[in-house]
Order: sequence, then structure tokens, then C-alpha cells
Amino acid sequence: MAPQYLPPRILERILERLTPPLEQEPLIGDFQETFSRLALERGRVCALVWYIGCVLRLLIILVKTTLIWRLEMVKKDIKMAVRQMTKHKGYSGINIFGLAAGLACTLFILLWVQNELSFDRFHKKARSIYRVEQDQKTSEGIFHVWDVPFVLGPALQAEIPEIKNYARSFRYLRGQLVRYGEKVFYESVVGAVDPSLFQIFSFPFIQGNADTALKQPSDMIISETMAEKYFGRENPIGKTMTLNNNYPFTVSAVLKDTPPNSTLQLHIIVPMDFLKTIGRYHEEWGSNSTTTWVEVDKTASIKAVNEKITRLVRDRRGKSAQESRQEFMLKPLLDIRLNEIFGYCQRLGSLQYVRIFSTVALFVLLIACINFMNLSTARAANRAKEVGMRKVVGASRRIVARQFYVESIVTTSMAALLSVVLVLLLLPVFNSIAGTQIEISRLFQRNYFGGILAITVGAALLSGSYPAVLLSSFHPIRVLQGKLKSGAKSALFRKALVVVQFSLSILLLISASVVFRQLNYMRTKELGYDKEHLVYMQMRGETRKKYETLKEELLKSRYVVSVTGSSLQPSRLVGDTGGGADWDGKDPDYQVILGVSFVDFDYPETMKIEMAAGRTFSREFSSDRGGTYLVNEEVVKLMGIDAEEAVGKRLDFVMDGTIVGVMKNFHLQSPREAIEPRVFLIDNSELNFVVVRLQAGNITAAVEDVKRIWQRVLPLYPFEFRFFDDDFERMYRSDERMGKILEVFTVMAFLIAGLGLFGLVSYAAEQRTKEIGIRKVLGASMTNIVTIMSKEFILWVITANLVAWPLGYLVMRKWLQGFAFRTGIAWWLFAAAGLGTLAVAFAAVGFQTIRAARTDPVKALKYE
Amino acid sequence: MKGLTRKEELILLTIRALDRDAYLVAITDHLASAVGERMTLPSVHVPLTRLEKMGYIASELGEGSPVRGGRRKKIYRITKAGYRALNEYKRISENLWEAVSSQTGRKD
Repeated sequence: MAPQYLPPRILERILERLTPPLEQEPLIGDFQETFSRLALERGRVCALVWYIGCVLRLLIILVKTTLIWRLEMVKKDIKMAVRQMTKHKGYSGINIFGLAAGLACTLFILLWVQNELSFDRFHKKARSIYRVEQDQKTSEGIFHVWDVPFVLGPALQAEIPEIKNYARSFRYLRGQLVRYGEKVFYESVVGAVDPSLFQIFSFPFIQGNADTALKQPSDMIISETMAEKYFGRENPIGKTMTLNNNYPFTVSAVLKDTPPNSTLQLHIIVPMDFLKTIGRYHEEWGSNSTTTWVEVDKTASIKAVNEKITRLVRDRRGKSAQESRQEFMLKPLLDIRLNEIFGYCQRLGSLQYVRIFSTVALFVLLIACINFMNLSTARAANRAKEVGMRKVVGASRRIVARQFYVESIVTTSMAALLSVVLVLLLLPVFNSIAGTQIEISRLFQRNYFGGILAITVGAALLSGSYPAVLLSSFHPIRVLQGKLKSGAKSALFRKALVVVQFSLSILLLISASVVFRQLNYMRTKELGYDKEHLVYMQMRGETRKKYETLKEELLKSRYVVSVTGSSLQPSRLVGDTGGGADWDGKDPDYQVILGVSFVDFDYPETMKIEMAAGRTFSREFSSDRGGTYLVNEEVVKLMGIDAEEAVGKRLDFVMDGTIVGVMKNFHLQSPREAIEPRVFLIDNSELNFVVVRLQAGNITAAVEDVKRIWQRVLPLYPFEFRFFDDDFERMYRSDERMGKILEVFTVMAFLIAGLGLFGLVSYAAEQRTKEIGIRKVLGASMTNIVTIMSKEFILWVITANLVAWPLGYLVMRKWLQGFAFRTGIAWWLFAAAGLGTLAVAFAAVGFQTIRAARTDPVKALKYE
Repeated sequence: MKGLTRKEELILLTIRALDRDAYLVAITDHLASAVGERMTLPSVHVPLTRLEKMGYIASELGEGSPVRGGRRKKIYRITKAGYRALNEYKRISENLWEAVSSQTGRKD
């Protein structure tokens, strides 16, 4: 007997599908017989090719005969949909525009959310990279920082086996004078890192490579932009750049510019050892001054590693560790953007906004979908006859439903298209409001585009299903007899939807106005100092030694009111904190963390800070040069005494001294931060900044004058200054931005909801033309009619208000708790939101009702 | 008599020639050797279905064989109507050919 060859099972299965069931057995048999004969005569491959050919040919025939006909049906549905749309241009316009606006909002928000979520994910090892952070426990609570000792990194790698690698990165060295040939700039983006950073993180190199880039102590890595800035078209590799006129470096590699969604931003990179050269490196275990990144074994338990680090530091610090109880923990790199925490539980991460905006996106989309559902069902009565006719001539419920689904898909697709166009057009605007750098290409990335498609289809199904189910359920006979009035049930549902829609809008409105008020409050609240006409300059290198001369010269100018100095950036008093303060009558177990600022005489006077008690620094007391403290009210509060009592108290913190004065609280932090307890003392050798109060009036001339003086005293150093107001703006920017986004989307939500209401009302007016006509004939006045028409709609809106108020209150109370300084939620906000929505509702309703009421009753009655 | 296409006529003739063993593959093979060009199975099957529908042929399920995976054959057999139709076609074409040959005879 001939050996038997069998065609592949899968192909046979397909073939079975393609053959008519009655003749399936003999036909498949015929195919197989031919197959095995071909295999025998010409080989298996040939037979296989033949078999596949047969299957394909049959498939093509099937597609031709069946699918095309089905498509033809869908084509018909689409044609019907387009006819419906062109016939009722107003409704379709409202539908499409409303949906498009809703979708565009959603797309923007998704883009933003995705941008936030994408932070740092481009590193290949992102999942196993952690930052070492620590909690410092004080009596005030837990103070969280992500600076750790320089010596921690090497010890971690040596002693904890789970930690595979470490890299330290020092925050930017501010104000470095960078020189290449003739080109000299101040750069505040010079960073010092360990070479291993490039093994842990995957920053792409353009020239040079990760292994050798920072090998030599004089190696330097620069970014593409920096290379452009200093070298133009020259090849930067091997060229020498000088830092602060003193330290030559050789460019060994060029990095591709760090993407905006990276936590670490690299511009000019020098080896960690440079910090030793300039004396910024500290060997002590008690000094927390660098960021340390570690790569942890994937299988390791993070909790166990945390404990090991804490124990390690405790052992190394020995006795001193007992004083400030530290606990170390690893923070996943991917968690930093969303969940960054600093200080006393300040949440700097954007998780909160990611959540808020995702909810907002959902709301706006929902509002837009509800519009669609409402308008479609409202028109049900008009289309009932159409449905009845279709059913009479033989359409099944399924076919009728499909018609409505296709209609909603056509509408949503058009809306989706429009929304993509809107997003493309408005993306630059959005970027500037949100402060992001989202590129247009992001929109067309595979997963994002898939998202758009999913949302569109989802919205189409969501908004199409209710009308489809409702309208397809009509009984043809009753419909054609004209007995169907838009049923009470569907009217109730519609009302409920409008209430939901307006509740959501009101919720957004209340939230937006609370946010706005909070932002406004933060902007205008009593700062405790006068930020107008206040500028500061940073002193670098040699300039410090000339501080006294500079001050003297500046004070001679008629534009300058007063001059002082500060060790910290004067517009943002953060950092330089420490524990171990002691004073008379302090409970020895009481742990506090105080901040310290070194200043010059005239500090409170220049800043215009008021004194709560005691005196300011004075040249008449020689002890004031480093022997006395000014403190802010927070310190006094910590000590548990009155301001008056504090004056004259002994305080041992930086040195053993006396408190001579208490300054009223002044706010030089971000709005979320509470005012830190801080002490001030005079030490001119620690000053890094000159603070100058200018005469109000001609500020430009004043700045010019200051510049002239600076150049005379310090001819070698370029003059750079900053206004306090500018820094102030900067600190508030991120919250301002979020507020702006929220505002825009609230307006959009209202617009869409209002549009929907407008559509509903105009429909209702059309429906009731006859009724209105009869009422008018019987003597109803225009006011009567407008009242009758709008009463119902207004009632819905009021209900929506009642639903939204308590929700809004709860949500906003929660949000405000994130701020150290916050406003209350005023009752009138709710009233205003209510009035606002009523106004929108009236605008939507009024126009239509008045038009309906003004029509000539004769025309109204004659129209059939 | 319903009209037959040339292909259907050939297939009908083949079934008659094959007598008792006329199933799809055998018909296709026979046609291939007679015509000199191989047709695909579906393109033979479609006229077969039509012929059956018109009542010129009838079919029954025969036996299976291992080479067919045990599936039975559908064996076609010519009906009386089929015979008549074939004879009719034969007569028509003979008549026509006769006219042709008498004409050519006169010419030569």
C-alpha cells in the first residue's frame, strides 16, 4: 500500500470551514487524496504548496461572496448615518463638537499623565535603581531628606551584598565660571558624579563611552547643548575647559541631551573627586550632602536592605548616632517623580495631580458622552416612526440597533478626528501652560494611538448603546399608530443624566475656584517681608573678600536704600538645618531641628522684617559679631515661651550665644512648606549673597547703577542679579500651572454641559411648538411661556447643585490639607457655583425658550 | 432541455465514460488526460453541483479508503435525462459537422 501523507491539521480545519457542510466529507476526502498523490509523485513540499493554494483560493472566494455583502450593509448604515447628520445639522454639530472638545481634553490630560508616568523609564535598569533616602526623627516629627553622607556609597557596596553598584551625584555646583578659549559663561548646572553613574543609568552617549568617560580626574562630560554652546561645530573631544579660571578639564565624552522626562538632568559633568579639590567633600558620617544611587539585586528584599543600611550607619557613627535617630530607606527611581517626599511630609511628587487630572478627564469625557445620549434619546420620538417602518418591512431588532451603533460610531469617529486636530493645534499652548515639553510625535506612538482608538470606540459604545437599546425596542404597531410619546421612563433617565452632568461640572467648578482662591491666597498672603525692589547678587570666589568694600560703595549710591548679606539664597531660605540645639531650661529629651542663616548687619531692615521683641543686630554691640542670635517666631514657639521672654535667653546651637531679638515670621519657602524655625547670626566670612534694597521709582536706572558699582569693585566678575519677585513667581509656578489646567478644563466641562442643555432645550421647544402656539392663542404672555419652558431645566440644575456641594466640600478639604498655609472653603463659593451654573443654564435655556415664545402662534399651529 | 456549458458537457461525458467510479478526483484526472490541461477541484465541483441540480446526474456516498483519510467518496452516476441530453448534444454536433464536411467536400 502507498505510504500515507496527511495535510496539516490546521489547513484541513480551515478547509472544513470553507466547504458546504452537506458535502464536507467527500470533498475533504477528494482534497486529501489529491494531496497524498501529489506528495508521493512530486514531494511533500509541492503537495503542501498546492493545498495552501486551494485553501487561499477558497478563502478569497468566501470573502468575495459574503463579506462584501456585509460591508455593503454597513456602507448603507453609514450612508444613513451621514444623511441623518446632514439633515439635523444643529444636533450633529452639538454632538460632534461637544464630543470632540471632551475627547481633546481627555487626550491632553492623558498626554500629561503619560508624560508624568514615563519619567525615568528609559533607563534599562530603571526597575532596580534606588535612591538612598533617610528619615531624621525629631520631636517635631519625621524630617525626610535624600541627602546622605559621601562615605555611605562605598561602604554600601562593600558591605551589603544585595547592593551591586552605587553612584553618587552631587547636586549642581551653582555659579561656576566655565571657560573655553574666549567663551566664558557662568553655569549653574555643573554636576559632580561617580563614573559608575553611567553604568547604572543608561544615558546615551554621542561621543565617548560610559566605561572610560570619567576615568581620569580631569575628565569632563558635556551635553549636546553645552557642546554646541562652547564649541559650535568644533569637535569637543580632547579640548580643555576651565572651571573658575583654575581647574582645567578635558572633554572626554558628549552626552545626548537628557530627555525632559528624566529626574537627573546632566549638562556639565565632572568626576566626584573634584569636590575634594574644592573642599566640598566631607568624610564625616554626620554630614548629609550628596545623593547616592544604588543598583539593587532584583531578588533582594528592600526592607531587609533598608535595615542593613540603617544599622551600618549607626555602627559607623557610634555615639553621635544616638542623638539624631536616623532611618535609611531605598526609594525606587520610578517612584521619585510621582511620590517624592521632602522635609516634614511635603509631597513634591505629582501623583496627586495625576489622580486629580485623570478624574477630571473622566468627568469631561462622561459629560460629553451624556450629551450624546441625551440628544439621541430626546430625538427618539421623531425617529420612532422610522424605526417602526424599518421593523414593518422586516428589520430585526438587531439590525435597527446596529443602525444606531453605526450612527454613534460615525459621530464619535468624526469627533475623534476633530479632537486629534484640536490637540495637534493646541499642543504648544498646552505645553506652555503645563510647563511640559510633550512632543507631537508622542500622540502617534503605537500605544497612545491605540488608547485614542480605544477611548473613541468606548465612547461610541457607551453613548450609542442606550439609544440603540431603547429605540430598537419600539413596538412597530404602536409606534406607527402614533401612540408612542417619549416615554416617562426615558425622560426620567434623561433628567438623571443631566443632573449627573451638571453635578460633575459643578464639582469641577467648586474645585477650580477653591484651587484658584488658594493660589490667590498664597500669592497675596502676608509674607512678613517686602519683596518689591529687592535684588540679590551671588558672590563667587574672590568677590567674597570684597564684600565690605562692595557694601560701602553700594550704600553711596542714591538708588540704594540698604545692603546686607546672606549665606543662603536669600529668596528661598531652605537648608542648612541641624539638630543638637540647646537652651536654658530645655528638656534634654526634646529633639529639634533648627535652620541657621549667616547674615550681615541690617538684615531685618533690608528685608523689612518686623521685630516681635528685642532689638536687631547693631554695630554698637561688639558681641553681635557672631555672639548673638536673631530668631524667628517659630524658634520661640519651639522653646515654648513668649517672644518677650526669649530675649536674653542663652541658646547653644552653632555657638553658645544669646538671643537678642525675635523677628516676626516671614515666608521664604514654597507655599506648601511651613516656616522653619531658624536662627540668624552675623558672620561675614560665610556670606554668599549680597542683598540690596533699591529705591522705589526708576528700577532700571537703579540696576544700572548697581551694575556700575559692581564692575568698579569687581572688574573680573560679570554682574548677575536676580529680583526677589521673580524667584517668588518661580516657587509658585507649578501650583499655578496646575490651577490653570484645572481652570481650562472646568471651562470646557461647562461649555460642553451647556451645549448639551442647549440642544435638549431647543429640541423640547421644537416638540412643544404646538403647545406653545395654543397657549399663546389662549392668551399666555411671553413670560408665562418662558417660565413654563425653563422651570423643568432649572430644577434639574438646582438638584445637581445639591448633589455636588457636599462632594465638592469633602474633596477640596482633603486637597487643602496638603498646604501648610491654606484658606478655608467659604460658603459663598458654593453659592457662586450655584449661581454660575444657573446662569449657564439660563443662557442655554433662555435663548431657545424666548425664541419659541416669540414665534407667531398662527405659524406654530399651521406647521403640520 | 436546459442548456449545458461546454465544461458541463465534458464532465457529463466523463461521468458516463467512467461508469461506476466517477468521483471528483477521478473525473478531474480523466478530464486532464483528455483535455491536456488540469482543472482545479473546485472548478470541477461547481459544474457537478449544477448538473446534479438540473437532474442530469445523481450521486451517492461510496466507500472510504486510507488515502482519503477514511472519508467516503461521493460517486456520481448519469441519469436518464443525462443520457438523453448527451445524445442530443452528440446529434447536434454531428449534424453540424456533417454540414461542414459536405461543404468542404464540394470545395475540394
